[in-house]
Amino acid sequence: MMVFEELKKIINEIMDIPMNEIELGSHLYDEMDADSLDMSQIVLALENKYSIEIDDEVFEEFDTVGNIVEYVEKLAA
Amino acid sequence: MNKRVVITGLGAITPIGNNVEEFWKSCKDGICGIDHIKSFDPSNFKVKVAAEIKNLNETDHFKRKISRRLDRYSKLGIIAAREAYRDSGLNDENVDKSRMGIMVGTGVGGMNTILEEHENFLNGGSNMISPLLVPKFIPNILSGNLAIEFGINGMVNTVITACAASANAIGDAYRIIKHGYMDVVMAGGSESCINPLMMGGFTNLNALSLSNDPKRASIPFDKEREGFVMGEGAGMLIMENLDHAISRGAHIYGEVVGYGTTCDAHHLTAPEKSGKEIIRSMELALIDGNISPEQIDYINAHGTSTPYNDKIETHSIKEVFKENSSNIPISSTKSMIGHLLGGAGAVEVIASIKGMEEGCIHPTVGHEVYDEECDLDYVKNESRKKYMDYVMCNSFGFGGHNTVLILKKFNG
Repeated sequence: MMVFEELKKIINEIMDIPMNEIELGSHLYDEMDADSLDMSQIVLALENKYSIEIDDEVFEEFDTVGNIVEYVEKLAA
Repeated sequence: MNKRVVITGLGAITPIGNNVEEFWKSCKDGICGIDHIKSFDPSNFKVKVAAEIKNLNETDHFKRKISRRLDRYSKLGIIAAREAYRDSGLNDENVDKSRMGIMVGTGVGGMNTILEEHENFLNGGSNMISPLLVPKFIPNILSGNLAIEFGINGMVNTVITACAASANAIGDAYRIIKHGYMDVVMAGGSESCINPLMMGGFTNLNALSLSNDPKRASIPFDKEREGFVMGEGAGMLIMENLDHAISRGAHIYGEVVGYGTTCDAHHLTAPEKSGKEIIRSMELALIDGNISPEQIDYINAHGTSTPYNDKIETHSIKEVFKENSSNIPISSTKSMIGHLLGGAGAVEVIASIKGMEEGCIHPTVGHEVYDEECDLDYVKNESRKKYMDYVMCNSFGFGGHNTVLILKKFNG
């Protein structure tokens, strides 16, 4: 759950969405209106936070907050 | 067939007023917006004063997500554009957005963002550089932001001619409408670069006033002038062809009737001493408008407060207007708002249009010491009532750009 909490902070900072409205099932594009600039910032913030390297092509296929959490947890493990 | 081009909307954010009404009232009252620098600590800098915007809470204008994506120069441009668009009465129904364009000028674009991200890079390496760096700083991004905000799909361009940029933008918009390429153009310019890098660069170029007295720093045509004062701000106009404006019942502030632009092709920063290309830019604008020099009622000067500009501009005016030159009132808006670089021309056009509308010439403030080489009527320190039909606006820029616009009172 640590990654989820961190991701909520990042999304709040970048997209100005209240943390209590962000759920694992939240859809990045349909519900949260994310665009490529939001996603680039989120990727970079996660890479810097966890010292990981995220594959852009994999990341582009994510639809939900939960997809990101799952992927980052695996990489950071 | 050429179209007549009129101005139907005004927007401004300046060091002496955050909208057109406040700005113009301050102009008439001769308020000087120059003060000691607050944007950064200037203790270790030779330059001490600037003309900064006051009482601007950016969060009143932009949501946080959008605000992160905008350099301050874009924010100022958008604030001015919103006012101009609202003022014009344009909406999605009364203008074809595919026939509407944008033409805005800037000197340096999003320089604040470059500085912030360079600091992030030095502190943390390349992975600390925000993905927003490029879309925030590129000098055409104000145009892009305005196009998105207002849904404008026509000719959307950016003009970069240093301190003449927004005058060129207005001139180019005038031609685009005059020759029928667009019906309506949002035109103007924006600048915000009161930051350590730019202030240091301009200081070391010996371009800035190093005065510690805000009231004796930007003193155009005064013998003791020693450089310009950096200002920040934006000015935007809605320009459209006369038939389009009449068909939608728009208020018409005035008409753009002349545009002349030349280049010294001489020196990177210094004006050519004979002023021959400045003279030619004024003559071209007069010819373009089919106007004789005697018809010009007022000149809004470039008037930067640098030793060379004010002397050469004065000389050039004398060459064009001959024996009548001492009868034409001349004033410098920069005496109150400093030099807005790429935003200067547009804000000065707004001061000129408002002046024509009200029959009032704003003063050149801070003028104390007579200079025998600057011996024309500079409307010193107090505004003056005068009916005006034609006004000339001068803007010159590093790179040798000389740009002259002529505005006309709208008489139907």
